[in-house]
Amino acid sequence: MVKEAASSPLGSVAFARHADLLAWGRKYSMWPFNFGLSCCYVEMATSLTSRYDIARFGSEILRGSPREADLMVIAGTVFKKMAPLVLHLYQQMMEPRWVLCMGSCANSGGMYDIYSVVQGVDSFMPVDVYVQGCPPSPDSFMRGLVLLAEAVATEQRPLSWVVGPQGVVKAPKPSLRDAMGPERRAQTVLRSPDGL
Amino acid sequence: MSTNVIADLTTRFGEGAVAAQQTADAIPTAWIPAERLTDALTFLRDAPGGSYPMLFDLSAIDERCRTHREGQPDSDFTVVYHLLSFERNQDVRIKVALPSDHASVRSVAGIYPNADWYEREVFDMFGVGFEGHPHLKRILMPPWWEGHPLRKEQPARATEMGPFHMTQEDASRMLASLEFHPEDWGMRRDDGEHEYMFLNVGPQHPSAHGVLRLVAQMDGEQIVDVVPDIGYHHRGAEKMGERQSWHTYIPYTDRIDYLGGVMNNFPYVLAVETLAGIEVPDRAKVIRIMMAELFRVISHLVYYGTFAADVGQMSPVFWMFTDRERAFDIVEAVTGGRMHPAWFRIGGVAQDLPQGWEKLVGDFIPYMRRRLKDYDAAVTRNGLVKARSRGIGSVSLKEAMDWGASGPFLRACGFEWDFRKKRPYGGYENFQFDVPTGSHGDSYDRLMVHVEEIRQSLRIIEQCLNGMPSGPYKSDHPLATPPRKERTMHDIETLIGHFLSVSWGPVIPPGEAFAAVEATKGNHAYYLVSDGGTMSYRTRIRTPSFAHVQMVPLLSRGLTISDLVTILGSVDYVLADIDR
Amino acid sequence: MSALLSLAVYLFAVVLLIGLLMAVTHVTGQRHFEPGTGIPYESGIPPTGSARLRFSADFYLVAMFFVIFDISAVFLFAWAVAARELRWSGYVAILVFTLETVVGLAYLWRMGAFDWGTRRLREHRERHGVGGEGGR
Repeated sequence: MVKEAASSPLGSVAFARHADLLAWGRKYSMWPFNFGLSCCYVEMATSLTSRYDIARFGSEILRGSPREADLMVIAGTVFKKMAPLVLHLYQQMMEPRWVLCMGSCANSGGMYDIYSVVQGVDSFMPVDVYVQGCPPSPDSFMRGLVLLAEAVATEQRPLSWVVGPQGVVKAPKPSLRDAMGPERRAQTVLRSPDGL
Repeated sequence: MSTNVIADLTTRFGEGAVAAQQTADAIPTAWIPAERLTDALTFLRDAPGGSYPMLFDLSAIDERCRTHREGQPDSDFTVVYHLLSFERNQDVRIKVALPSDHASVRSVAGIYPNADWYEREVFDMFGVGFEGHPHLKRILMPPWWEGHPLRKEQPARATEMGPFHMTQEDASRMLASLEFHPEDWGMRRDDGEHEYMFLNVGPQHPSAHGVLRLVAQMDGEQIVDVVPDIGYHHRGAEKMGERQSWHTYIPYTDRIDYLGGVMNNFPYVLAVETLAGIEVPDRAKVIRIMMAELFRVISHLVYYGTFAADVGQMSPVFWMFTDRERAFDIVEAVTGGRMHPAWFRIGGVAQDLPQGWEKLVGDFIPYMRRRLKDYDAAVTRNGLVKARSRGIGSVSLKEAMDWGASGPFLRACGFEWDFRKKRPYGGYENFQFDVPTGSHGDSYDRLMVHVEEIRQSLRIIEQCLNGMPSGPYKSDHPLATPPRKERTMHDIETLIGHFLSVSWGPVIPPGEAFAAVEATKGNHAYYLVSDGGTMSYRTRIRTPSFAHVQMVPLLSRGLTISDLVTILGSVDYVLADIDR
Repeated sequence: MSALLSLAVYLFAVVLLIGLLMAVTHVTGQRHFEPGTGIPYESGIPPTGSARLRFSADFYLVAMFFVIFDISAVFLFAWAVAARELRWSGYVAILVFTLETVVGLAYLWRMGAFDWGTRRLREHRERHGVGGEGGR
């Protein structure tokens, strides 16, 4: 029914309901940007293929141009030579846009504490989700994408840049480590690698 | 035909000019004075007793901190020229000693065309000058970089260099310095009538298969020239080798050719085993060959699918990736990892094969053979694929040798050169398989060679399945790392050895060793210099893709931009293989 | 008269719809103006030179051929609308016209005006001396 003004931080009721509808639509159609830096890109491409099929989650097509893409997946190591280009491409993306950091190298430099690698892309770019792994298996990548999609569904973005409240209200970022901790700690029987 | 190349050199240049060096890998190594270098290389290239037509590798060593240099001339920077002779089936290493105050030598790009990029890399990494080089500028590091990273005084860690700050002004400045200026390369902006367009293909481009930047000088749709710009994927693997123990470096080798998995571990552990004098047991050899050939199948499937996608077929890449998943099921069951298992160890492999592996592998081989038949109908016999790739990007055998091509690229020119047959390593001499070759050296032949290699790899895997010897999966040599766990609980010496070699690292005796394998993309080699420590003194990685991508301008001049996409798809390369 | 009126109404509706769509898309959504946003996309690197160049006349030729054959097709459509009224003499006339167009087409084909990409490919193959027969 009609939402109370107090429960909607953006104020106007009409805008809030439209924003929810749009957020629901955005959640189910985030198209990734065809931006592969390194080995993680191969696992990202694998997640597009039949066995994993990321299209189930709305990431139907990899768009080659940043103007058409919603989600920039930093798949791979961010090199110092590449850093200005990554920022440039991020600036060329149209709103709404999100960044998913895939793999240890993008998260923090990973195992490459070396002169030519930026120790984490969040030193010069805002990041929405971090997916760990080296490389993360396609399942992990999709888990990260689903996490981002759930966060996107609760985001409040301005309907118009001309009128209405401006500013993006993003969901707080949960940590899967904390969320899944009890379940993981409950697993005490580990399969031996000596048999299949 | 004289097989003693050092004697030939001494006869030609005199006793005082040539100093021989003994290395652990038994490759003839000779030191030549810098002023006789071009004469020596020209002599070798056209040597009457068997010529050395290919410059296999050109690298350098910073000798200033090295202690075990007995019998070698004084040198601050050594430039190493590694030549390959097909007739003699032998290599020779020519070394030039340079003092640090005058670290400069004549360029050999006029003798071996592929020296162009190698010399640029040595200049970039060490600061060694090359007189007469056409474009001596940085190749791997960005243009704004200061210093020469592989020098011993340069920091290795990013955390030693201070946090990375990039403000908007910095980013704009860096981007502006990356812009292409045709005048720098001697290119004209027009030919009098038509103006040329300089189009950046990459680094962010689906057809570039990675962060490769090509600047194409185009007259309408036709390519006049191409300038590849690499270095966007430089991860400093060679410097990392100097900071990691011999054992902990293995995961870094996985990520050099990121589609190759354990095939990358292979040359590295072979080189370390040569240095340490470790003999690998038979079971370990066969396991290694089986896993390496499985990864060849995996890598070639990616090649096959992306080639089809590049010439316009959307579906095959999905089918091939599904097959790849079946292969990854085997890899994951055996090693625990998918793309980067880091599973080979110095002295053998990490653990024994799990029970039930025969069923997995036994089911995969006929499955893959059936699928290959389907792909023949869909891809290799397809008229459009043929029309788009026959005659495109062709190269003659002489050009391929001049530019350092190897692997399927070289075999597509009609030359049957495969290290597994010519220089059997790791047990390959016990296996029956054919070496497919092409005839025209064009993109279609490269595709056919790759497809046939998948079939031959399946044959080898089948022989491994049927003839897997029993025995230990790792050598008992004291330097095999880590020692087998079963032994560590029995005596204290083994326990101490285990602890030290895993934590501190095995101490490999001083020396130099070179090991090359027939990797998925071509000849992949490691040249390791040990100073008797727990870490490598110099890890030189010779990769096949570096030589192949240098040939892209040669392959694509005069063709259209859509042919460039086909050519990039047919040259099997991986960016981490080029830039390391 | 009513036909013209309905055309005018249709035209007005089209203009109104497009105007509405453009106006709505202009004001909705977010915007940002960062330094990289306005630069044309060229794989992450700022472009070298502009796209307004002096291209080869081959492109102009292809455009010209298209226009010419397109106009020929227009005449065919015009005849088709009035085919019955024009009877057999009209049919013969359009046949002659089509024949003249086909002769022109054959001439252009024969002299290699359409052999654009393939001619260069052949020259490239001859220059390099390798390549064998093509798949055509």
